[in-house]
Amino acid sequence: MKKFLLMSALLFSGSVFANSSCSDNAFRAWEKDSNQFRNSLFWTCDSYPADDSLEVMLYHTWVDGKDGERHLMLRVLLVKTETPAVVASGNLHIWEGPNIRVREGDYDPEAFIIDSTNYPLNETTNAFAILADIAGDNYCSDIVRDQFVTLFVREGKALKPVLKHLPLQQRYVVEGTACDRYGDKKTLHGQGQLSLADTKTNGYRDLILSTETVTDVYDQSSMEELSEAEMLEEESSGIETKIYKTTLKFDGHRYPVKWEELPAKEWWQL
Amino acid sequence: MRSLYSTLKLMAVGTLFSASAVMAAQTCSPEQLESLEESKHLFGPLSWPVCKALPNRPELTLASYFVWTDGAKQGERTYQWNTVILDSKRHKVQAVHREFIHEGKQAKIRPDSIWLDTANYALNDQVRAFGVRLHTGADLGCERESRGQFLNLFVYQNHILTRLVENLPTEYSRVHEGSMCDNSVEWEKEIAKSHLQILPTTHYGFADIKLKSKGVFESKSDHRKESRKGVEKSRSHTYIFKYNGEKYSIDRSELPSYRWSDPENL
Repeated sequence: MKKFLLMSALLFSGSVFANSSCSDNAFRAWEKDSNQFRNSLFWTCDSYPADDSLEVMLYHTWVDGKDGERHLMLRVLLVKTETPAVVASGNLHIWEGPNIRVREGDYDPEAFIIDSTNYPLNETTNAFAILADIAGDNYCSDIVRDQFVTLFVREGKALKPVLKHLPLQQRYVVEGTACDRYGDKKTLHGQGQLSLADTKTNGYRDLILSTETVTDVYDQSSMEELSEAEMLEEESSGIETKIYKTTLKFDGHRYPVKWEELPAKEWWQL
Repeated sequence: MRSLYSTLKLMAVGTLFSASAVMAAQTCSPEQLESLEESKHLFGPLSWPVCKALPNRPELTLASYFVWTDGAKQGERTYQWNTVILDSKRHKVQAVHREFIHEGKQAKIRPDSIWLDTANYALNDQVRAFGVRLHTGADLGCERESRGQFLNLFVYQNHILTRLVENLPTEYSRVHEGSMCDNSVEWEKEIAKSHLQILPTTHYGFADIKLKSKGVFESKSDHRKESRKGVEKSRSHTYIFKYNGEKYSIDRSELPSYRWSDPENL
């Protein structure tokens, strides 16, 4: 079982998400599906982790809103690899705001990525993950969240999100000001991984969010008298690492995501 | 009909329910949550959503929730507070009212901050308002005064959700003497709760509303009580506010927290 858990762990590194192009059949399915919208942009595909006769396709359409406050609908399709047929589909709505921005320039990194890992939630239900890298320009924000995971399961012709927009990456300026580069500051940098637990709740396996957190403390007054070498040493000594773990349980409909309790309740009590 | 309405008008609409019973009765179904997610028009999860069918119009459901939009530390965050009318059968969003709440000395968002108050606020024969109470007041702490349980009254007419009463505090605490910060110091404080009474008189077609408040005194020192022989341990305050054709106009300087600020008036 331990080996299985290891295989199931989400390791969001670039290699896991090597972009793969869409098949001709997936492209034809997109042509037909996207006709219902005024516009459709960007597509990416990857294999459906639970069944290699199917492929997952993503594309998005802008529903309304002006720049920076746009409303985007992400279409998620499950397409047959042998024929241009959509066997299941689902939607994910995203509203841009001060901290959320969907990049779509030619040289921008991809905003939405399909995870190639299978997530067996029970003996008959497999989930797959979409990762959204959509944090906006947030240099001066005291809290920054990014790498949002959504898990979909197939229910007949519907792809249903059972976990929505779980942030894997968080930065929290506990003391000081985010914008002040040289002022005293204490910052938490958290990078999370999602894995499946052995326990089940309401029929689906529990999820474990494990977040490695680096606490970075910068004390300006202690730096003023130091040489460059001493400064580097002092900076590294001000760094602490800690792992926070939170279990997410299925409530029969969703794995509820509560930002006030993520990546862990203790995170906010520092 | 006339006699029934008269009875309703004179009925005091108080805070008679325990908090736990209220919370249990306002849980949202998965289908309602799906619709609310699409109603927020913001990225991020719903914080502490609540739902309740309107007793006089069960085909409609009242819902309310927060969305954390900015700020990091507890007590320094900004939330969007949304109040929504849903079609009870198909869960389709009919109307939304939005407002931002900035946490600070006077405001704090809690898991049990929203109470959907569907008591009978009959403003006339046809129109019944419903309340959303926000338990967002800060704790008294070292402050001399705090206010809480902010009442908002809404009506839903012609597919429009309108707020007629805005954040009316219905709970007050005031320290008249001493300080609550230091246990060794003597203190006297007053805790007041208010309830609404719908009156038979009207302005611009909607009933006048009486706010009745009762303040109860608590003190730490028995000696101090003795020195105030003859002083009542509680007192009452009333304030009537009226509809001005657009909303209920409330003069906040007339509310008990200000009127009762001078202990010499005891």
